[in-house]
Amino acid sequence: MNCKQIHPLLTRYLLQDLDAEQCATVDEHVATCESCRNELKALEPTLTLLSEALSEPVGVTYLTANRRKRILHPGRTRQTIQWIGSHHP
Amino acid sequence: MKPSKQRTAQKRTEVMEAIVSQHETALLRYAARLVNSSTAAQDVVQNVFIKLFRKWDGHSQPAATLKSWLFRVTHNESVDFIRRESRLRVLHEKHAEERLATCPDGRNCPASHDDKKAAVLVRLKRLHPREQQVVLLRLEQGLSYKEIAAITGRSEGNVGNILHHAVQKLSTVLQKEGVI
Repeated sequence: MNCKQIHPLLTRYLLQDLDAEQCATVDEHVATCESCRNELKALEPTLTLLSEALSEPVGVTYLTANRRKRILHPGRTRQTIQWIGSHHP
Repeated sequence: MKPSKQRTAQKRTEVMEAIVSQHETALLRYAARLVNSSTAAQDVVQNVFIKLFRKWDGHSQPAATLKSWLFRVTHNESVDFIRRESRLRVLHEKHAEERLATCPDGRNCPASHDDKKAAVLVRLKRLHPREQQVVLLRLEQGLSYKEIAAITGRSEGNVGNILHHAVQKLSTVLQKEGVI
C-alpha cells in the first residue's frame, strides 16, 4: 500500500478500529515511511485530547418533567390549552 | 374510555416511557454537543420523541433501527436549530474563544489541560456538521462504523474517511495555534 492508501487508515489505527491484517499493513508501512510516521505522531495527541474532552459531562442527562409530559401526553396538553382558552376569553 | 381501550392506551404510554428512558441521555448528550446548550438540547430531543410517537403505530420496531432513526433525526433537528440560531451561535463561539488564554504573539495557547480540552471542543464546532456527526458518534457515543453508516446513510469506508479528515483538520489547526 502507498501513503495515499495508508493515510485514511491512521486514525482508525490509533483508535484500534482496524482488524489484525490492516493493522499489520499499517505497522509495516510506517516502519519504513517517515512521512506517515510523522502523521501518526501528529494525530495521536489530537485524538487523546479530543477523547478526553468528549468524555466530560455536558450538563444535561434527563429530559425535564414538563418535556417528558409533552412527549408522553401531547393530547392532554392540547386539551388543557383549549380548556384554558374556553374559560378565559 | 372503554376499559380495553384504556388498557391499550396505558400499555402504549408504558412502552413510550421505556423508549424515552432508554435513549434520552445519549440523545441529550449528542444534541448538547451539537447545539452547545443544555436547554436547546432538551428542545431538540423533545421534538425528536414527539415526531417519533406522532407517526408511531404502537408496535415496537427493531432496537437497532430505532436507535439509528433517533440519532439521525436528532442530528437533523440540531442542524436546523443551529441554522435558525446561527447569529447567536457565532456570538457564543466568539465568547468561548475569548475565554481562551492568548499568547503574547496573538496565538491562542491554552495553558491548562482544561483550557486545551475547551479549545479542542471549540475547534470541533467549526468542522462541517457531517464531520462533527461522525466524530461525536464514534468518539463520544462509542458507536461502531456499521452503526454510524446506518445513521448517516454512508458506507463504512466513507465514515472512516470522514473521521480521519476531521481529526487531521483538528490536528493541523491545534498545532498551528499552539494548543498541542
